[in-house]
Amino acid sequence: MAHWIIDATGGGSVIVAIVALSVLAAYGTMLRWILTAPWPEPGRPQGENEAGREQV
Amino acid sequence: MDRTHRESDLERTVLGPLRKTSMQFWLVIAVLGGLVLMGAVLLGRQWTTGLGVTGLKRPIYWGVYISNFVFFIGISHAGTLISAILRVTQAEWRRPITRIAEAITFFALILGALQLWIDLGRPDRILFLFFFGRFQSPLLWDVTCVTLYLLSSTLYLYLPMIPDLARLRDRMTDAPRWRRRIYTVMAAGWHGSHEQHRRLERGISIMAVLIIPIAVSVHTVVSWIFGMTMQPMWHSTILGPYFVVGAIFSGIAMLFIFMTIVRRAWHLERWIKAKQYDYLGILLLVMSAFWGYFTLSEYLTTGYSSLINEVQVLLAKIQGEYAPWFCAMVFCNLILPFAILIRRKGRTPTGAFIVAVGVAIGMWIERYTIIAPSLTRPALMARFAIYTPTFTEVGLTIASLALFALLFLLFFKLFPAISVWEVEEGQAVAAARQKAEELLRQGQLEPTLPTP
Repeated sequence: MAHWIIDATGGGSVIVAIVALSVLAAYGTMLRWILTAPWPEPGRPQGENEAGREQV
Repeated sequence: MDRTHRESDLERTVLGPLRKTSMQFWLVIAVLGGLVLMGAVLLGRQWTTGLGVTGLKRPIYWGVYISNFVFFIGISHAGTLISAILRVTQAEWRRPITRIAEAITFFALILGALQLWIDLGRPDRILFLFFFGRFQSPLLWDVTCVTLYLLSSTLYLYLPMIPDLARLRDRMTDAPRWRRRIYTVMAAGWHGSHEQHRRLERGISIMAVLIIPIAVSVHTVVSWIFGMTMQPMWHSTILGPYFVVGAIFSGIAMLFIFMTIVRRAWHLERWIKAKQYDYLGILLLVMSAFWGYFTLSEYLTTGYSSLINEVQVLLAKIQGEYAPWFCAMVFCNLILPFAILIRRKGRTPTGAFIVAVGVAIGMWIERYTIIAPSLTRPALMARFAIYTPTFTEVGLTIASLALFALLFLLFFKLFPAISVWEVEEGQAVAAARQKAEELLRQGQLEPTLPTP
């Protein structure tokens, strides 16, 4: 069974590609989730970098 | 620089080296660059004339390059694993050293992968691993694990850097344009809101938990490249944990070396203090004891087996031509750490640096004495072979170490060596705790105990 799966997936290259793409997608999603937090938040003090951000 | 912002001591100290560069720094960079150039010339010669310029020949297919590969993959555990374990256990003293540890991991992994490429007679054939790899081969497991580890370590290095990158974007306004551009792009619009911080810390925690099994799997699979063959003293079930222990051991040593260099050169003495040397020194001693235990188990079990092929390799290591290497390895990895670090007085930056250099050398020798003796006495050969590394192999090893140091130093010329926001957070936590203890002492605060 294991040999059949390996043969059917090009010796495992497809498995490596699927693992790599899934990991990249998962990490990308997490990064996006972190960086797209709502801003500015209603009723909260502004963040430490906000003043500087406006200057750049 | 943003003149409206008053910099704290921490910011001034950490951002100082990013603003000014001394002559000595460029001198070090020039020396390291020269060594890397020498390596490039040697590699070019190896590619044009073939592996005949090395000591590699049948049946010794692996030698110094693969020792370097295992060594670099080993020290890559410095970082991520140590930093992740300390984060998960919420050890407060980790804060000033995690960035250095994570950077070691990142660059060591790149250098480790490079060694495999150097080891190939035909460098273009590295692609064959991806095109024609077979999952039955541990080599493909290794490629999968190392790639996963590199991806995860890159993210694990980057995530805690984001708030500091935003700080650089906002404060380093007098830096050259290309640097400001790097900071702006890498800060990825970070604005430091409460919600963003909450999500970032969640992300870092997830990565810290994920990275521990990934790191363990990487060095276990590296050991399986040896363990899955029938070569004497390789085909052993102990090799997996033995390699993992060795990796963490050499990783801590490398962390000591680089944190001492950065502490001295970047004047971070106020932040990287005796506490870090004391606690990490104890950790190094524990790993030294583990390493000694695994080495004894491995050698004693092999010795008692009386299997002719196994015993021949063992004897070559303990009383044959590899005996000086073996003695040096035991001295560096076991005697030296215990002689210096066992007493608290020894766990100083100088003491730790000496031990760490010794352990780094000892662990490289360990990799070499795992690989060379078994291949010079393979199971199916009537006669022993001889392996003598050539100038090309030694030169490329020196060049690889130089490239590692060069990348590390240049990285910390661009980015802060200490995670400023994490240290500030630690200071705030310590101040709040002190205040709470004071109030508790004065009876103004009711101690809350968990209900049974």
